[in-house]
Amino acid sequence: MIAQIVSLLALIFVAGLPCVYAFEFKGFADVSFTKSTKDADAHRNGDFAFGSLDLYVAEVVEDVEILIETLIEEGDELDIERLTIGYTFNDAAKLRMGRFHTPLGFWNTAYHHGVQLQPTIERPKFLTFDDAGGILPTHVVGVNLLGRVNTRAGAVDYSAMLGNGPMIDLGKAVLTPNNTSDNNIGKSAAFNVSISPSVIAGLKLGVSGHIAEVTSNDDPVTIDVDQTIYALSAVYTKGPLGMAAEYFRIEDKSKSAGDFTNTAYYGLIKYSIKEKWEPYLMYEKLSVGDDDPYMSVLQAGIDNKEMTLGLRYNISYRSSLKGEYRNIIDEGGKDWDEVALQWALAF
Amino acid sequence: MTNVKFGLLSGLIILLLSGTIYASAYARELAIIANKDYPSDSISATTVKDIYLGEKTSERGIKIKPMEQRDEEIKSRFIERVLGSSMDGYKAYWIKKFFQEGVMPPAVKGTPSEVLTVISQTKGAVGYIWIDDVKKDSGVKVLLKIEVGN
Repeated sequence: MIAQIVSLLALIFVAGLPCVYAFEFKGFADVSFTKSTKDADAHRNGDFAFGSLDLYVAEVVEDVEILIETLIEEGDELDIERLTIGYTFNDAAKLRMGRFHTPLGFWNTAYHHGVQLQPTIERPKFLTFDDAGGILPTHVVGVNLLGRVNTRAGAVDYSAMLGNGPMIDLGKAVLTPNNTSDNNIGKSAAFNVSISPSVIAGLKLGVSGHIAEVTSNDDPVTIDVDQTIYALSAVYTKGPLGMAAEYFRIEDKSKSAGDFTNTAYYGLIKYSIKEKWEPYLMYEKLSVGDDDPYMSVLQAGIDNKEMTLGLRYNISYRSSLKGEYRNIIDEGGKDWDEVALQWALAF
Repeated sequence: MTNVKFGLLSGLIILLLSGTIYASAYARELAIIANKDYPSDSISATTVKDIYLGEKTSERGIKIKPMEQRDEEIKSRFIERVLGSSMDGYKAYWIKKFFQEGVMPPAVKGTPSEVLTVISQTKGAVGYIWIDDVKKDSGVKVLLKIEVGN
């Protein structure tokens, strides 16, 4: 805890240095209240919660770009979420190295940890961050080449990466991106290509893929999976109307337990009234293959269906209040309701 | 009676037409200006939009440095008419863009003369200014003129 405070103070000190390369911190913060009808669910039993404090800096130093995003979660956990050093050759070729969000689908790289940016209070369950028990390798440490190419058909955005493969930390029951070394020789690779067709303004269609060998951190290794993830995304924004949908297929080939297929998707629709009020509706579903060893150790690796009905009120372009009603059905058909409120801020 | 109606109708049409002509004659014009070394002598409104939304950051090997005006009147006119966004929508967009990609938002300059000075001295600099404020000896070139209403 003391080390974390010292790190944070050091960051703030660096940010405040009165020199030509002084960094300016920006950030996001949110507080929430959640009441669930499910028995004894931590943080959801009619509780107020300090959600997260996200601090980030981005700067260009002699043409070299640096981006650092730190996050303090649940009041006391300080993490470096993103740390990239990069160079922009031109709009079609930008090179980044470090820790970044895996270019998978739309949501994962659109909102990061900026809660005020995302339309809903929480991410879809299957997009839960890896360090919070999520099933997808949402972070990666490696090298990323990305850019945009304008064609006659429309703007094409691409992102390709090579990095350390994720590891299952059995002690914490989470996926970890292997920040400092890879626990096996297999690297992870991913790509994401999306097109914004000229003929339909506001539409963006994307396709992604990710391959990795994922092993657990015990000895002898008990989970060893060759994983392939495919994702499709569609986002449409036209005036006050906004829609987004993503579909994921996660194929796990276990050396000891066989092959498993898991699927997940969400659909979201929102409508902005005078840029102030924004009702939204989201439906999400995760179907997990029976006895998939990869899924069985991760908290979010269970069948899940969720309907979210919400209303967002933008106090200003920096601050929003969101209220939600959720109906959730999980593995075994257990059904419960939740209501949640959140005040989120960008500063 | 018919003649009276016809006269009134004709008068109304003339009034409307003259109003339209008057309005267009006095519609204010923005100039998209650039440093003399900018590798192009003209630019499309779409490209201007891409530059100010951080989607286009270089032109033939030269890094583009967009400049913003501090003056609310010209800034809001530019954002609403050229970029097709509200002021708040534009600010929110840049919070997201900067956070997502680390792309720097346009630098804000104070007065038209400061904008002209900085653009004339900065390679790759692009900005917008009222057309009346562009002088022959200001050391910049006009890439595009855009009518933005009264």
